[in-house]
Amino acid sequence: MSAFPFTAIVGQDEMRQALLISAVDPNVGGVLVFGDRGTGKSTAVRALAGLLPKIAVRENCHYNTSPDGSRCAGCSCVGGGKQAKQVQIPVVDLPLGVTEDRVVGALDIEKALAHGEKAFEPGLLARANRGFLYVDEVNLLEDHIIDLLLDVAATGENVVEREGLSVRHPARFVLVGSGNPEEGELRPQLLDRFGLSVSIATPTDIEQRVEIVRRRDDFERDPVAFRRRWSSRESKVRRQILAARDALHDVDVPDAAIRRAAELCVAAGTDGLRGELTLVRAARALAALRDLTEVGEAELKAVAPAALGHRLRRDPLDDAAAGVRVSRALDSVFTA
Amino acid sequence: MNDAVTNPHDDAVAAASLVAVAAHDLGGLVLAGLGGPGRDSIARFLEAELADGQAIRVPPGVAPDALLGGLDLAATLAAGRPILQPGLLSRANAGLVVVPMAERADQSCVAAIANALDTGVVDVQRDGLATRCAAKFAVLACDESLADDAPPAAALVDRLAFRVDAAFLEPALLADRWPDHAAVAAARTRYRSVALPDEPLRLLVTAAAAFGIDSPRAVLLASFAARAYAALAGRDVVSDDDASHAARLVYASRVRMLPPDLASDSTPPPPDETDASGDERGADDGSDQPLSDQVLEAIAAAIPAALLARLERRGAVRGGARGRGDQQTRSHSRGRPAGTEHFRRGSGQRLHVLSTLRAAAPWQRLRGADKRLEIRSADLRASRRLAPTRSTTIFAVDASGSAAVQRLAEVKGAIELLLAECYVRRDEVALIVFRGEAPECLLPPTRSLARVKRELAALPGGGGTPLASALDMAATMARAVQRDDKRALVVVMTDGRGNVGRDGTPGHPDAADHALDAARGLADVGAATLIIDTGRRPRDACRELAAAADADYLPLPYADAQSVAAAIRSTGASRAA
Repeated sequence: MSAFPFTAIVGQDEMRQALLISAVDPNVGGVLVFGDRGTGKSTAVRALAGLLPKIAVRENCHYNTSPDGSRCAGCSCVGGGKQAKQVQIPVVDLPLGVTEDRVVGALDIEKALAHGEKAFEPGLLARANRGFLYVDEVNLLEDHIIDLLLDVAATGENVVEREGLSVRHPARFVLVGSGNPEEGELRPQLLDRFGLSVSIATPTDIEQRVEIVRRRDDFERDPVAFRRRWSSRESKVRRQILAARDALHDVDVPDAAIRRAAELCVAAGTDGLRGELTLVRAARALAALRDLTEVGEAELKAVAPAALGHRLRRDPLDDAAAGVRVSRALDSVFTA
Repeated sequence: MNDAVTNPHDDAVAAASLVAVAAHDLGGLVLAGLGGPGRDSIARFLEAELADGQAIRVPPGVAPDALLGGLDLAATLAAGRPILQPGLLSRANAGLVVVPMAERADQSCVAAIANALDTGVVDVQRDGLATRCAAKFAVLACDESLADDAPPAAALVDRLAFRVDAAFLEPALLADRWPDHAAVAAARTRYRSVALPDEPLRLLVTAAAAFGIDSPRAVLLASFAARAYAALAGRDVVSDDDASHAARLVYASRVRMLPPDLASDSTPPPPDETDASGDERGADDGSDQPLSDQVLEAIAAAIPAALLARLERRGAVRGGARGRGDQQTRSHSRGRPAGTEHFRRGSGQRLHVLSTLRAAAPWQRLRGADKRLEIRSADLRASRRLAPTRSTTIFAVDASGSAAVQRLAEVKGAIELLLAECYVRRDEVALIVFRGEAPECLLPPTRSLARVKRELAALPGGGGTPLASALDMAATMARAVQRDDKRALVVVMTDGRGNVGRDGTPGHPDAADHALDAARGLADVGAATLIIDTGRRPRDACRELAAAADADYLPLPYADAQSVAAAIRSTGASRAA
């Protein structure tokens, strides 16, 4: 199944920006996309997969470990250096109806039945290591699966203690979720695990809507030709991501910017320090994407709604106003 | 440009034929109405065109492994490796999925179908299996919901291009309208190459905007329908006419608003009145609003947030439920599977065979098993299931004269706030009102909160206070709710001054004792109960009542008297005007 090109998505700038940021710096902590039905949430995430650069992994490794690090335990992978191979950054789908054993991994039933051998069969968390884990309709995911995700997303490690197995393996992934708020709320604990959260709405501009349908229609009729037409724009963005990943650590975050971030969080009323941290990291990734050497106010402003909108202290009677509250905070901090 | 009068039979045939031409782009159709010859005729046509007469039926309570695929146990044991038993969705590949009683399909089932419609594949990550199966199909969803029922899930309906009301279709009139098989086949080949020029596309987009249809998917579906229309007519380019036919068929069930100057416009005509059932929650115009915003705000400030949630948690603790979250409880036989646990004999659990095998497998050598598997009781695993417990909130509202008619407005406002909470929690709501000689059940449990609001708005006040029989009625209703495996919450709003006996005698001397008796009866039901004191000032009678009913007690906070008075004056003034 070939995906719709990322660059051919019309509008939805905030969502695209958030996804690109998470591709540049996985430490930003994932993206949640909430919006109406049919606005292209899952299209965008699946499109991102086609855009991601390659990473070096060990040969035969279940966990996509980097050849630079130490060997992973209980894995058949071979040493680093020359035996590394280049693979596309994985984007693993966590489908609805997934069972616990497939998420965390379980006893390999084939080896157990046929050879009486106790072997670990890695699950989706293993496959998503160093990549993306995508949950469509994240608000419909069953609670016991969410519990597993919360635990692993917090520690970056998957610990399996079941069926006489005792395995731990790295599971650092960018959690990407999408859903429709009408179909259920998200647990606050899960909400907090997402670094950025964007809500997208249907464009109201007629020209934009014509363009959306036009491109989608072209794509459905001839996906191959359509992708070919967009391929140069796709590779341009891919190069941009790669360059930004390399440049990320050289981007300077001046004290003034950190101070601004803190002021913003205070003005908007966010709980805890995660807001500042995410804000600064996301702004740095954006600066890298924009080929800048230093984080400026423009970057902070651009990422503030996505980084802070879902962290505001909850006010049950003033629910829809999250965006308004962030922009109010932006106004007060940046005009002062 | 359009035919002035359209025949529903033409539309039904057109919708079904378009689906037959462009099944995977159009998603399918919703057939509304109870079963009947018209519905059968459409289903038969689609089944013949799309599935060689072999549609796959997805019943509403289908289990995830049946739907998505699961482990074929016999084959797995024989082969010694996991073998997939394909699910219904992948078996329907290149065919037709029929969802009878679509309004009953649960959320996970709908999400699975919707995902397959979007991606054309089913990703099976279950029971040690990891595989992808092709699942491209069209969906025929039968919507049998009646006025009171919740309609089928929007996530499904939104992805299906058409909605056909089949209740009044006559098969005889349909019969000579069907296109023949060759025509459909030819259109299918032509469809891919039909071009959609800018002009008709613009028409589709502007028409959607004019009718308040936001979803880009609707426009996309209309563009596919327009191309299918042209293909059926044997044309290679979509004409404006094709587009307006398509727009009418696709948009009819999605209209949110009517453009102001409908008659002078070339946009498609409004849909028939038949699909008014769509969007009841939106029916919240000013006339339904019983209170001015001022009053609502005053009360909002005074009522603690998440009252129902807190109450329910209390109820869960008292009821000794073992659930982890506050929404779900463990159950052995109902609900969605949620992992496995050790099997306890005689507990009514269902054995989970795969996990049992998994648990036993590593020890086979040690146990000296040769050919046969040796399974010991410690290996046995059972599926753990979480039954989603829906809650039903029963409001018993005192509308009697004594309940200070001047506070009735506040009571209504308070209920509206609680209703908002019910809506978020997808609760059902029932409404009992008591005044005069006997309580009245204004609404049996329903999910249509709009109806509750309407009833509430029209609620008059005055008369005696049949408190005892109202509590009896609430207790009876709560029992019925519990029998239905749901959790009951009872919210009584009264000033506690019952003056009508249990038998309906006005001014009964023992009315207060009757009420206390009834309250104790309510306590026996064990439902979480909240008594909101709506008296002028908190009264002991109400507190005693709450104690007898084992209920939480909350005096309706007295919003600043002056502002309430002012607000009531202003409501009164606006009524008079």
